[in-house]
Amino acid sequence: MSSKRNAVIIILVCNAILISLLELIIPVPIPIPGVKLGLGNIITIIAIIFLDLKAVLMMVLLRCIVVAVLSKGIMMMAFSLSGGILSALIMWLVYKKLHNIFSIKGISIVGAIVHNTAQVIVASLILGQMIILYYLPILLVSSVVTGLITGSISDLTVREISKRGIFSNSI
Amino acid sequence: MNIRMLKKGDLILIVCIAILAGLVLAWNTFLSASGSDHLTAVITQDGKVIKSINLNAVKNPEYVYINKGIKQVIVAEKGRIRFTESDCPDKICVKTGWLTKIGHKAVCMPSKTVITIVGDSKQIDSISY
Repeated sequence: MSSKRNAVIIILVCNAILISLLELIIPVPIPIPGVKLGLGNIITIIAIIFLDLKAVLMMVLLRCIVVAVLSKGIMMMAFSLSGGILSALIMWLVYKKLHNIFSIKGISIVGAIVHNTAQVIVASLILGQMIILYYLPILLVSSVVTGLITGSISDLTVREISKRGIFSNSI
Repeated sequence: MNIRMLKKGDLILIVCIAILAGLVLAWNTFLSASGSDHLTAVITQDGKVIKSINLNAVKNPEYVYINKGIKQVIVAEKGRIRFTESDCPDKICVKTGWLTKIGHKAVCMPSKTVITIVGDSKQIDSISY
């Protein structure tokens, strides 16, 4: 493991944590458990494109633990972890196997859908009540909107990083 | 090719999601419309029913106090119910506002409390036959 690779991972994790914490200040107009912009996803997408799966999963894990401890409490970690890890895995698969037909925006939408759906399933299990069908329509629509927003930002960031060749040599 | 544009897969995905969301929404609307005027609010915590209130019979505002780690106040009035106070961090339950129709839900994840409005099953049967 090169030290440059470690440094890059640490910098990305710090960014992801900061962005996720800043996001808590932004009020969400829809009062539904789990609906949020998911700006931390931008960093996950950057990691998927420039790093390997192991680094991506490690970053998501670190981000979820730190953000949960600092903001919502340990109990809420079940949500961010289930959604975060699952959506990172699916986005990684879509990027590796289907990047011909999906752009970064599409990958981000897929990630948002997986993230939100996983969270509501975990919520249903914790509450002991099936709330998934009730929340599914609004979650799907909000996933497309938030996925497009974070996907567009990721797209711009990824192109800027490639253009400047920041991650180009030997990570 | 311009990478700012959406690709084919993106568009297909968005259309599929829109259709799926529309179908589930229609199904949910159908379910809540098939009920009656009879409204019963069921409050559950940890999956167990802690109180059931007939919203048609409420005259004076009725308060339910929940104090299991997180303090919460639920108020029921004629035909409607809501969370009014909660110590939870995100306050999603309070922001949900009044529940007035069959199928409506308010959820508080931190305290694992759910309010659901259900119809009266006898009432539904008498209408459908």
